[in-house]
Amino acid sequence: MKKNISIVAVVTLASLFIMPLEASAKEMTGKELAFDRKLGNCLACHSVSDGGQPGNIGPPLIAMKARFPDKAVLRAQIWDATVKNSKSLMPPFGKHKVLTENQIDKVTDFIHSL
Amino acid sequence: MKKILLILSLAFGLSACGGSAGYKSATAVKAKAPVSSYATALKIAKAEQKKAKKVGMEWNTIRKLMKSAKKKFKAGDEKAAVKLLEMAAKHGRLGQQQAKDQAKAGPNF
Amino acid sequence: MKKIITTVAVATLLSSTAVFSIQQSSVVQADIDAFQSHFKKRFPKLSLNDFSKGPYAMNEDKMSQFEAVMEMPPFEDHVDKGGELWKTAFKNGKTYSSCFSGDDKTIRTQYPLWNAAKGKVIGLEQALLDCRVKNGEKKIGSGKGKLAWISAYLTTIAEGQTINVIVPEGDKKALAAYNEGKKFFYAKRGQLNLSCADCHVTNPGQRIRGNTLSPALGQVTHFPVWRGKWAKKKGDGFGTIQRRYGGCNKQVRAQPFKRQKDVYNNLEYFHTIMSNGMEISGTEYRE
Repeated sequence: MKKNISIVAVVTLASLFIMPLEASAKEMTGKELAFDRKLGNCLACHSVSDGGQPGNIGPPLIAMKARFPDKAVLRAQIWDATVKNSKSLMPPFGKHKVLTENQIDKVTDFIHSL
Repeated sequence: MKKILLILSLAFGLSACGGSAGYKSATAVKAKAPVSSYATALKIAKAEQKKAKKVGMEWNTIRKLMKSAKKKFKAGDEKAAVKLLEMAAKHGRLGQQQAKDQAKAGPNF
Repeated sequence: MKKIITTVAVATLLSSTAVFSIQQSSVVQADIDAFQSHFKKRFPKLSLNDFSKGPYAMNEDKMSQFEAVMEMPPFEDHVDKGGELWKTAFKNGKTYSSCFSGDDKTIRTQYPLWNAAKGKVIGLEQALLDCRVKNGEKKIGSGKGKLAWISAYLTTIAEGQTINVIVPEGDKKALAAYNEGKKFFYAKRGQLNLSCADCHVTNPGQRIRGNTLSPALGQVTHFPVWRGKWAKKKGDGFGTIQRRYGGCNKQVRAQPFKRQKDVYNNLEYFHTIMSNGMEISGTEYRE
């Protein structure tokens, strides 16, 4: 009985330590976040080079550095596009917690590189 | 066997939670409220959900978050469960805000 | 004194409903005109009834797909079954038809109907359910299945009939219900912060991923629909318009509302009225 408990305890403890490690190993890149249908899903509305089956509701994501010399402006747009235009269709990814702040940083980096 | 695991993991979860709360309040993060319990966090989340529902702006993310929180809690990870419930409460408040923002919504032609 | 006032008020009300009972509220008529002209301006080549073909009217490839499916409709048997159910007598000997006035062919065109006595909007599916209960039959599910087949039958025999849903002029409660539906339609909702209008008024014909967005104008002309997507799931592929509302709400990450309750009834009221003057096209296939 006692043996049982200790084994269980060890397994529980071990799994607790392993899990966070696994999570960090699987951390998604900005591009993966941007293309994931449940996360960024940028392709729903925007075409992005090498992204299949894009929508055309929003403008194509090209020449982003020219359009957004200041990366912070691009980040703010992703965080909540309705600030600049209350009628914007773009989901407010930051304001509405669709993505975490960290994920928004990564997506911003990726989009800005296009 | 299953029972033992559950009790153990629960005990572990609780002690870990108590421990971290104690640790936090003892160190720099004094300003932050101590980590709330699953029960308290659930109550708050449900209240925010109810308010959002009342103004017709409940997000379907809330019930999902609550379900995941319950799973985490049952698996002994109360801290993660509380975090999910805090997010659920936040979604509830954002829905209420949305109702205010959209109060005058109408056609633009 | 009070009595006199009430009597006068009641008399005025009665006479006004008598005179205006079939007249569309002028406020609502102005909304219809603005709504429909928005779509006509945007798609000058399409006639009013073309809009009932939805995304297919805006994409030739999709149209040929649609026409291919419609040549041998996979849902015909169920529409026929709906017809049989419609004509089959309840245990008390009466039929569904006894609950409705006028020709069976025009029933579809009047729903959702404002019920002044109840002070609320009654959709066709609710009217069918009410009819069952009134005749001592059990309630059945309203999103799909038998009730959807009966509704699909009524939609199919109404092909070519003109939608004519009315907010009676002078009826403040009816106008309030209409306005609730209108507000719902234009309000952004869910975590993704999208309104019905964002996609189906501002962006019809545009693509969201690989799917072409349908125009809100004409969406009601072919419901209940038979959807390929629904046929892949459990069930027979049929769904009422309120089932579709639930799906749309989930897609923007909003909690769907209960079917046959005020929120969706009022939305359906507004949504249908915007297509007033269009022909019912019968139950159709949709992706």
